[in-house]
Parts: sequence; structure tokens; C-alpha cells
Amino acid sequence: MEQTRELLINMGPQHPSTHGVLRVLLKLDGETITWAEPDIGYLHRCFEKLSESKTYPQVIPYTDRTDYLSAITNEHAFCLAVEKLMGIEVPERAEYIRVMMAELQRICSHLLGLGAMALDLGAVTGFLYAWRDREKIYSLFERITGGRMLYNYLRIGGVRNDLPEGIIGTPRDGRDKADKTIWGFINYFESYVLPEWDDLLTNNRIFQWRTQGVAPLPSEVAIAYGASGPVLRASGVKWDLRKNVPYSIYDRFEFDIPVGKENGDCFDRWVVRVEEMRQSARIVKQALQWLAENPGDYIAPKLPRVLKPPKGEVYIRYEGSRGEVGVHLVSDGSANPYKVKWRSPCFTHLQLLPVLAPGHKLADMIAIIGSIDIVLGEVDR
Amino acid sequence: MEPLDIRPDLEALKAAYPAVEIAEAATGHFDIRVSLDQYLDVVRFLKDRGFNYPACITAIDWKDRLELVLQLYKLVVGSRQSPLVMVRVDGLPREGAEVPSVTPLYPGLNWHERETYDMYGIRFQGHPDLRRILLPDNWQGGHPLLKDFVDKRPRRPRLVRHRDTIVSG
Amino acid sequence: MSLADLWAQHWFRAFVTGSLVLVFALGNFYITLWLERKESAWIQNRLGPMRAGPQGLLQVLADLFKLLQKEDIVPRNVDRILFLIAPFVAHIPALLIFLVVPFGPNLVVADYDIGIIMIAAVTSYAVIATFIAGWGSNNKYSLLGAMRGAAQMISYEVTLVMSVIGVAMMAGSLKLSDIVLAQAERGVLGWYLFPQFIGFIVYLIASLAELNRAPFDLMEAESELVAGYHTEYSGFRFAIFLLVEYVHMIAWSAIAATLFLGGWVGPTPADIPVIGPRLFGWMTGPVWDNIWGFCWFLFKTYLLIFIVIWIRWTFPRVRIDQLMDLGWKFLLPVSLFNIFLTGVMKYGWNVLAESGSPLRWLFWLWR
Repeated sequence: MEQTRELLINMGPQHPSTHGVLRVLLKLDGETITWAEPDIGYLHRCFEKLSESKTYPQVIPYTDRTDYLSAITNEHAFCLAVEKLMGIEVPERAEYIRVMMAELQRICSHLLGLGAMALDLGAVTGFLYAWRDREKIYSLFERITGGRMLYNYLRIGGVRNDLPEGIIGTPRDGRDKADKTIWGFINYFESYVLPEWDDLLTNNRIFQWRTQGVAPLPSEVAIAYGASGPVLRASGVKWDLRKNVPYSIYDRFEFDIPVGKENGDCFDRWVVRVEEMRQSARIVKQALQWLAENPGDYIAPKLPRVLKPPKGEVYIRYEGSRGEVGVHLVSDGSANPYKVKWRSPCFTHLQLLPVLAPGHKLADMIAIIGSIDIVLGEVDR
Repeated sequence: MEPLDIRPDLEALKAAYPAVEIAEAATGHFDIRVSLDQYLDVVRFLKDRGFNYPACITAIDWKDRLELVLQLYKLVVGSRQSPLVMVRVDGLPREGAEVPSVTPLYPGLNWHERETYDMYGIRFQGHPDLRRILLPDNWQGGHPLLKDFVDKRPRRPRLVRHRDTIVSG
Repeated sequence: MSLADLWAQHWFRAFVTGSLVLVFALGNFYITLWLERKESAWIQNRLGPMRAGPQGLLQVLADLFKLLQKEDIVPRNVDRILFLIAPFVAHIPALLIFLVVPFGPNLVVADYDIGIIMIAAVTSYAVIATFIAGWGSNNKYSLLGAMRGAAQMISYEVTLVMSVIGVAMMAGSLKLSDIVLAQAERGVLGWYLFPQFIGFIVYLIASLAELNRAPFDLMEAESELVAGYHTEYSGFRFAIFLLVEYVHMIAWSAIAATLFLGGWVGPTPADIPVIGPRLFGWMTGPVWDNIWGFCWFLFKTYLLIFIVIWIRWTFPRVRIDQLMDLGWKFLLPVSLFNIFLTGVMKYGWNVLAESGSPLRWLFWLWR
């Protein structure tokens, strides 16, 4: 007797749109997903174990490599944890540089996240536009830090070096200086890139068809599942650790928290990310203003050569590009961290996949993965 | 915005479970030390008092024992400086520890508990799907984040050619 | 046996004209592939191929040679016969379409009276090749791609034919050369693009779906199904699928140019008053007519190809259920309305043409 059966399909680890090495097992009824199960661990690099055998400053380059698309924010989170543990006062100028870099990094990371989602939905051009603008941030970062993607720029207590001369630029810098001065980039970004994203994709009918109403995430489910960052805000929860649990000097900046509607869908997650880039640009502008007005060269305090934090424990909640980065650091008084736990937002968000996917089409799966914007380096650490 | 005050909740917790030890750490969070048999009740109590956001769950290997650490906080829109509480269960055996799972209360801790099992070998009773998560399902080498973990896999030959082996000429 | 005698033989004529069509298709495949790479590069702030030949013109050749050199991999668990014949089954319908396309006043291989029906019939075969490839590959992604392809191509077939019926009603014939001649009378305004504008848009969208071009490239949707029905193909079999895709695109553009843009008729310089007869006056006669016609035909075809490529690199991909909704719930009713509209307007002109009523100019486009 003939019988319809569900089709078990194995998406990944080699698949064009699983953002690295994610493997998702899917059961399909026709094109409709009835069951989804992510399988991770293909990029596990023992970050937590490795950190236990390194000194505190030596861990910083490894934090770059967890969420490799948002390296500065990770460094910042780790440095904040160590500083809180040791009670180090960070120079004001270093704080501003850190915040500015973190927000530029957030723009950079969101650009890639949005671009990759566009690519997954079939809009290849959007992806390449994202890369064009990311390239400009990277050339700025290269001049500031020496690295293009993994910087090792933040130091415990400060930053490695001051901004190079002329990189701030003036508020009148336009598009021609977009990859030479930060002001040039910000002006170019606000006047040119963001409207372009809106024209090309956000207001595109096909794009809206593909994302609106796909995988709605009610706010209470989002909170129960530990969602954070843009995913949580897209569900209408106005919660941003930069505002609600302010760290560093974020309470000195003016910016808004973009939120989606009550049942945030893929489109809301997209819009929230686009809006967040706009808010990050606002923060960068304020930081640039301060940095231009307050020149100085005190960017890192004098610390002992071997850092030995006192015995204790700290948990830092940090608003990374993808959500709440938690650094749980345990010190036993020696030069090496006794335990480092990296609570990664992508790892937590990936749990949502079995909740969000069933009932949607196979093509929506791609949109969902794109909209929660995972980085497998951070999922597996 | 006033910083969110959770002291009333903690006092209520202390009143309900006198055996619980509550201390404020120097780094800003609150440590709630509970015994294993009260762990689930305390977490349930905290959830009822509005600690709705599961941040993380992990363990610490103190070389002679394991300690389970659960981080929670209140996610209240419009609040400020919501303090973190760490619910700690100390004195778990290093091998074959079993604790009740809080995944039914906080579904977001599902994978974090799996990771803790994967890395420390703590079994979570009542967990819907307790399997290894980062390591392969057929991994036999133990639990890597334990301090005495040794990688017993055969060493792969180094692929680096040493300078003295290069024959010149 | 002289050449004229030989020409009288059916088999010889078929052989020569068939070869010419093949050469035309392959030559244009080359140019279209190059154009696609260049155009996508222009859209995406890139340069595209630049190294092989001037402006990368030889890049396509290099790629094809690379594909030729590759090992012909047949995976172990495939249905061997189906897997092997699928690319060749696929490229037959793509080439057959060119048989009925009039390239110039006298340049048409087989001027069937039922040209449009023939096109509709032949292109339905394309879905068979797709399904053979998807089923024969014994791969779940391929199978999904093939399923999507079958659903998509069969449903859009209907819409496509419906959108063309308006043109047949206007021309009063299914023969493609008649349709072109019917558009030749009044220059640009006589093209069916204007009276059949709805039909043209529906045709454009439906043919994109029929061609599996983005935004309707669901059956090979790279980010979802890896490569859909040709996931398992490599080397030259893959190249043939590529060829089929582009030849199909050229064929559809050629038919659109014929049906809606007046085919080979055009405001050729020789037709333009004042300048035409003076500068190009000597370029008349049957041979020159064919040359001019062919050039205009190519120009219009490439205009459409350009638009199709442009669309591909701009829009995201739609989802399968949205595609079906678009086809059945929107495009099909619209094309039926177009048939109704064409009928009404033609009738209106017929009734009012003799009277002096100024209302008749409303129907002028549809006369």
C-alpha cells in the first residue's frame, strides 16, 4: 500500500546558506517543515579550555575568534570582565575609543548579517553592497588597529594605541573620504548606504513577501528562550543592555532602542538591525565629537606586567552585535583564569530554530537562519 | 530610572528557605547558595518572583568537587541595572553528578544544560534531550572542561617540516 | 548535382538551416553568458572578468574548456540512464523554439501556421528533462528542485499561453511571420507592446518563471537547494544545463521580441524619411531587408535579455507558494482579462471605425 512519508533532509554542514558549518536535520512534508533539529559542534575550538592555560591578556586574541565578525565587542566584553574583577579604572579617552570601535564593529557586523540574509533570500546584489561598505570599515580598522578582521586591539585597562592622526576627519567629509576618515564613513553611511538598503530590500515587495509573517516570535517565548539583542527587540521587548544595564560609558550617549512589533517576524528582525545601524552611527558621531574635542595620549593605565586578579568571580552582560554576550570569569588569584565561560547569543538563539521552523516552508528556513544571524564560530566557540 | 531592587525578593527567598545563603559579591551580583535538594524549588521560587530571563548555566570544577552555577536576572522593560543572581549548588561529585534540570522552567537553558553535561559530566534529570552537543555523540574521551581532563586521542604526526631535515643542495 | 538541386532536397535544407540555428543559438549563448557576467558585475560594483581577452570576452571560452576537461562523474546510486540523458533531453526543446522564430522577412526555418501552439507544445518538454535530472540524480535536493520545477513550469505554461492569445487575436493568426507583418504597418505604434501591454508584462513575468530565472529560480535556488535538479551534475553535463538555460532565455526573448516588439520590423534607417533614403537608400532590396531585419531582431532580443538579467540581479527570490499564488491567482486572471479587453477593444474599433464618432480613437491602438 502506498503511503506518504516525511522526507528527512540533511541541511549542512556543507550547504550554501548555513553560515558556516551548521547542520540542520529537517523533516519535510512536501515543502513544509514539520521538524527541525540543529546539530552543532563542527567548529568547536575549545576556547574555554584553552583560556584556562593562558594569561589574561593572552585570552583576548581568542575572544576575537569566537564571534569573528564582531571581534571588538568580544574583546570589550572580556576586558570589562577582567577590569571589573581587578577594579581597574579605564582612561576616559580609551573608553570613548572603545565605544566608537564597538559601534563601528556593530555596523560592520550587522551589514554582513543583513547582506548574508539578503543573499540567502536570493538577492546577491545586496550581499555585495554590504561587502563594499564593510570593506570601508575594514580599511579604517586596518589603519587604527593593524588588523582587518581579528584585531587584538583592546588591552586590559585601555586600548593598544591611540587613533592614528587624521582618521577622525571632519563632519564635512563626504563620500570620497568614506574609507579614509571615520566621519567620512559615517556621513557616507547615513546619507547613502542606509537609504540604499531601504530602497533595494526593505521596501522591496518580494523581500517583504519572503519575510513578513515568517517565523513570528512572541515576546514571552523570546524571553523564555533567552533571546537577546536584535532578536529580542524585534519581538517588541525594549531591552538593550547598553541602556538597561549600562556598562562602560554608554550612559553618556544618546540613542534609541529600535523595537519590532509584539510578534516579531523575520522582517522585524531585519528592520531592527537596519535601525540599530542607524543608532550605532549616532553613537559613533557623539564619540567622534568628544574625541576631537579632547585630544590626549593617556589611553592605558600602568598595570603590573603579570596580571593577577584577586580571587573572585564576575559575570559581565554585554550587548554584542548579535545579543547578550556573557563572560563568566572565575579567578583563583593566579595569572591564568580559573574558568572562562562564554555565554554566546548565537548559541542561545539557535535553540529557537526547532521552535520557529515547523509549519514553514523550506525556503523560510533560510530566512529564519539568516534573520537570527548566527555565527558558527560563536555557537561552537 | 531607579536601579531595580531585588532585595525584597531575596529576603522573601531567605524567609521561605532559611537554609539558603545569600551574599552580595564584590563584583555586583548576588550569590544564592542552595543545597541540591532545594535547588529546583529555589529556582521555581525565583521564577515566580519575576526572574524571567535565563542568562546561562554552567559549572565550575574546584578540583575536589563541582559547583553548578545558574545565572538569572529580571528582564523588566524600562528597568535599569537589573542585578544578576547566581544560584549555586556546591559540592557535587566530580563523577556521576546528578541535578534536576531547570529546562522545563526556562526552555532557553536547554542547550546550556546540554553543554554543561558535555563539558562537565553533570547529568540533568528531567532534561528533555540530554545528549552531547559540541562534542561528537560517540565521544568517549571524557568531559573536557574538568581540570584533570587529558586528551587520550592518538597524537597526529606534525605536518611541520623541521629545518634540520631539509637537505641542502 | 548542383547546389540548387541539393537545396531542393528537404534533408539538405533541414541540415543547413538546422545547423545555422544551432550556430546562432550557441553564438548567442556565448555572448549572453558573457553579458550576464559583465552586467551582474556592473550592478554589483565589480569589474567582472577582465583578464581573458579584452573585457574578459574569452572568459566564457576558458570556462567552457575547463568544464570540458573535467572528469565526467556519475555518482554511484543514480539512475544511470536517466542521469546521463537528462542534459540532452533538456536542450532539445530549447533549440526547437528557434525553428519558428522569424529572424528576418525571409529568414525563418519552418514557418508553421500554428507557430504559437508549436512553441507552447515544445516548451512543455523542458519540464520532462528537469524532472528526469532531478529524479535520476537520486538526491533529495535534486528531487525537491524537480518537484518545484514541475509544479512551476506546468502552472506557468498556462499563463504564458493565455498572455500570448491576445497577440494572436490582434494579428488574427498563429503564424509568427504573420504576426510580425501585422505589426509592420504602423511603425513603432503598431507594435503589440502598446495594445498588449498587459499581455507583455504577464508574458515577461511568466517567461521568467518558465525559464527558472531569478526571482523565480526556485528549482535551482542556490541558497535553498544547493543547485536543485543539477546538484549532482558536473563537468560537461553541467555545462549543457548551463547552455540550455541561456539558450532558453535567448529563445524566450526572441519570441517576446517577435510577438510584442515587432520582430524584425523596425524604424530602419532606410525607412526614416529624409535621412533614410539619402544615406541608406542604396541599402534596400531583399538581401538588405533581411540584414536590417536581422539586426533589429537581434537588438530587440538583446534588449529583453538585458532586462531579464537586470531583474535577476536585483530581486530576491520568491517562495514556492507565493509563486503559485502569483501564477494562478494573479497572472492568470489578469491575462484572461487581457483577452477580454482585447476582444472588446477590437470589437469597438470594428463597430466605430466607419462612423465619424470621435470615440473611435479610443480604440485606435487595437484596430
